[in-house]
Amino acid sequence: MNESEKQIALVPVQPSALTKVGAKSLVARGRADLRAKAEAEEWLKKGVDFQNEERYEEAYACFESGIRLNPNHSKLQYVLGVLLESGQGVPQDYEQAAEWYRKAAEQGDPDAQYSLGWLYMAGQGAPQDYAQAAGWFRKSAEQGHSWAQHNLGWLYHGGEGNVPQDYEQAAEWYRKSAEQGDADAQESLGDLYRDGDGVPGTMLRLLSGFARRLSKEMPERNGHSGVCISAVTACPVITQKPISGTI
Amino acid sequence: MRCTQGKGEDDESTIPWPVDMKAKLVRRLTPEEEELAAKREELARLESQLADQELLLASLKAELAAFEGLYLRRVGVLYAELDEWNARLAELRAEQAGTPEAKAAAAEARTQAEDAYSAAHGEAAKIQPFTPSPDLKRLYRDAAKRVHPDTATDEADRDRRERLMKEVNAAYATGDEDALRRILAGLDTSPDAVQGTGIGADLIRVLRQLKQVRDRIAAIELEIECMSETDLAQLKAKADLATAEGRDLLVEMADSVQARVIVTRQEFEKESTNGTDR
Repeated sequence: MNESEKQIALVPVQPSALTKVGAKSLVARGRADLRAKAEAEEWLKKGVDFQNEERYEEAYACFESGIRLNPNHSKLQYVLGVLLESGQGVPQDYEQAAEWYRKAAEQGDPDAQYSLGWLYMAGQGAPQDYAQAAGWFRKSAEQGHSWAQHNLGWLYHGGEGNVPQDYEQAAEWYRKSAEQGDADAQESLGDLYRDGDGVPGTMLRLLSGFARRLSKEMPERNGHSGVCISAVTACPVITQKPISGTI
Repeated sequence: MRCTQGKGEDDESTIPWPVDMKAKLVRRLTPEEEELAAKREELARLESQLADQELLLASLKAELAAFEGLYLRRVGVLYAELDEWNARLAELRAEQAGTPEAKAAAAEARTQAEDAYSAAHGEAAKIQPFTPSPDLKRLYRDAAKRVHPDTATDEADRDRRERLMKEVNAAYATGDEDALRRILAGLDTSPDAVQGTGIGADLIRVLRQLKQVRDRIAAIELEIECMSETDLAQLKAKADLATAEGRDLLVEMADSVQARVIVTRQEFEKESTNGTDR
């Protein structure tokens, strides 16, 4: 074999999808998917930067580009949900937000689980359902999400709707959240211990603490009628319910 | 290097040469002899380098094949599973829609699923991790050096060596030390012992061998370069980098394909229940 023949024999197969067969095509596919994933990651980063600069329209466009490349990216699903829920950079759409949150939540994203739980609690984008809310808060809380832990405690504390009242569970979740430094959970836990016999005033304080916490930690929800309504509609249920039992 | 012509050596024991004269006689080489000696030295050096390069190439090939096997078992099978659900989904839709387009799409998806299945479960997927022992490497290097077709003296010899080299490569790839030992034992004790006639012929042969060895070294370099540009090598490089960072790239890839499998399966299940409801 002379030099030129040798060189021809050594020229690798052209990297075209059509000429790749068998194992080679599976390898090429893996690489292409990796590239798409990396690119989606870039879009996420860019979008978050825009989000931090409050340039929501650009952020939303970045997240959309990312999700096209990697439709199962749970963080991208979550941030799309956030913008749709708040109506930032895109018309507010609770149903679509819930859909994205659900996709991410089903993949185990604790932020999305918390947010989906919140939409169930507020009855936004999904019919109000405290049991569903508790279910998603629990999944998130079990992964250490301190807000989810607090809210789950709150649901058990009040025995909301179809969630059975359970002071022990309430105390347990408040404690977990408080241990992570959540001031409202510390306060709620204190209330729960002090007023274990359950006077309605406790619940009102809890509720006001909860609302305060919301406005403090989630300023973007300020003025969101949905949040306030859900808090207020929750209120009569809690205060009217005769509370008994101690821990 | 001693003069190989050895003229007068027969007389060494009988004629009492003065020590210094005898030494002079042995050392005196003709210019051709000196050149031959120098070229032989160079050839020996290059042959040694070539054996190293062959070892490197064979190791790279075996490592890539082993990585491919691992990839196919960990990630490839999931792509095959994903394609299977995609095919079922397309078939279901074709059944429900009944349009020629849907049927064509279903047929295409089915072919793709079959191709992916046979690729993910084929021979390439059976190759196990390659961890050559120092002994295996040494045996391969010795065998490659001794067998190398580019150091052949004639066509028949060359054919025989090419055949042997294939056996050597196969034995190395499968980690078969005994096979390498058998090949080595079957070789002439010294293939270079067979000499041509006269210094001129020897020199021409050595020069030809030198060119062949140099060509082969260059060809190996080119082959390694081409190999490193393949998808497989690039993916392996990424995986190695991830390993150095304490990550497992194949697990990450498998996870994301698995997520797609789940989504597609759920979609299929949802649509097939909808179909039965109707």
